[in-house]
Amino acid sequence: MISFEGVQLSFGSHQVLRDVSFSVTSGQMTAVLGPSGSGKSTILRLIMGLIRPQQGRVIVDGEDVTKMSERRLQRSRRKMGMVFQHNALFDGLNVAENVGFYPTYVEKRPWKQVLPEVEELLEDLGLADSAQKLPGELSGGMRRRVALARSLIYRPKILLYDEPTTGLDPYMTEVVAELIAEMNEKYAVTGVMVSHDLPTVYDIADHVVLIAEGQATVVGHPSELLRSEKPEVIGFASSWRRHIIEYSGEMSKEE
Amino acid sequence: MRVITSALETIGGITILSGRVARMMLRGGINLRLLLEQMVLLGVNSIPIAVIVLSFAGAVFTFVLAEELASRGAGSLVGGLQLLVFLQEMIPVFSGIVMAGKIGAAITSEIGTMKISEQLDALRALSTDPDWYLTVPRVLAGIIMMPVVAVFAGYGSWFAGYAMAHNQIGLRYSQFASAVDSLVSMHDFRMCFVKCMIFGATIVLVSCHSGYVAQGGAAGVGKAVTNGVVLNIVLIFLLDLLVTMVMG
Ligand SMILES: Nc1ncnc2c1ncn2[C@@H]1O[C@H](COP(=O)(O)OP(=O)(O)O)[C@@H](O)[C@H]1O
Ligand SMILES: [Mg+2]
Repeated sequence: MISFEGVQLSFGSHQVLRDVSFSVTSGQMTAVLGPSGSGKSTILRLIMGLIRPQQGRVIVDGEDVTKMSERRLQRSRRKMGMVFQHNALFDGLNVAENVGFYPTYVEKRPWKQVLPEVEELLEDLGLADSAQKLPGELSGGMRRRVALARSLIYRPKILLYDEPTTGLDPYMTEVVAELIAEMNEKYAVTGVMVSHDLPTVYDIADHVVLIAEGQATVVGHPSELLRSEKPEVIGFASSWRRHIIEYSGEMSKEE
Repeated sequence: MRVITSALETIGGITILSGRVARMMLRGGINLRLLLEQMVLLGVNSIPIAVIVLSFAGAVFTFVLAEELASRGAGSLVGGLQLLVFLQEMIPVFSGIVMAGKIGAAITSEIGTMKISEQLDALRALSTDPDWYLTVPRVLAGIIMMPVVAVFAGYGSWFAGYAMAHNQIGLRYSQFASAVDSLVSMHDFRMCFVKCMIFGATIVLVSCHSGYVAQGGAAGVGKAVTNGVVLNIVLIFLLDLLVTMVMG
């Protein structure tokens, strides 16, 4: 569905991606892990065609998005949705207008027709009472769900999530993670989730790719995060592994 | 060297943006609702201040000239002279400066904030061209509304001038207006409107561009706003000279 082939990208003299190759299987949730600053958000922006690499190809649904004109990209983006790291909600528009943005301005449908769909989706996401509020009046968890709804409304085949649980309290983390898993199930989308929240990845991803030092390491199934002998994986997941081992040790003592 | 390259970059950027916006307008890529929203915003925000500023300017102009002209027996020329100078110069330039400070700064800070909070990327991710959604409606609103602002501001300056002349040298309204026909022609009105439309387009384009290139957090947006306003004020005077020379 999505594949990176020898992608290299620098900002000025700062090389972020050296040689990144991996692919994302249709219908699965792939997690992109890595330390902060390693280029995870950059990977999502490349898939969306928001930036272009210096070298390599990014194939999305059979087309290379790195060579497309902005106009063709606009069409290609209709099959993709992105939840930004800081939500990037339109702060001048209320919740309903944010969620109804795509049907109103891209599909150019009348608001009277769009509103019921917006309300239904807000209801589904537990935001029914917030339709008229501005993003600035919402809590972090609510904003995240509005950002999700803004993409879900046009049923994209591919959904990209940039650290969807970062900055949320433990309860909200679980709510949002469950929501993502549920929506992926319900709409049968291909998902790419950037994260450094290992428990969430463990719970909802089917496939894990690790980005570090400008390169991608394919980890495979999330359980490999605990078992893999690859040095990159051990390096990244060691503290979490230790934590789990201690935790399960305590659990068995209590029994 | 840095100053020159950044100036060239800015000019190049504004030129490219103008081209894209013009092409989009010609293709009919205009959303009426967004346009109306911007027209209302622009009118409501700038008409009152423009009227106040130009009323003071009209009063000062007459204050300086009225007694001088009256003492030479030419007191009735004052209204015509004022209108001539104000149409050619004062109304477009002062309205432009008010627009740059009020509307221009607001546009740059809005778009700059959208840039640094990734809202512009979110627009693109939602298959929406920021130029279509943000730039085109604002530029068109600037071109349409700037002459409207000028009409209100012009009436303000005219009546303020009359009030001052009446107070200083006791002119009646018909006397104040008596020299208009001989001193002011259609050409002066055309000049006023052409300048206003050009200033309107320029101010909005420059302000949008300053917002699009903002970077570096809230401080970066503040800097972008200052840069935009300063560039706009310089351009208003430069274009004022050019249009005056070209249109004679
Ligand atoms: N537009 C940009 N200009 C310059 N440097 C950038 C830009 N975007 C990202 N970077 C740099 O690229 C690196 C990777 O960024 P990012 O993909 O956001 O990392 P992550 O999401 O993994 O934390 C960082 O060092 C960041 O500073
Ligand atoms: Mg990131």
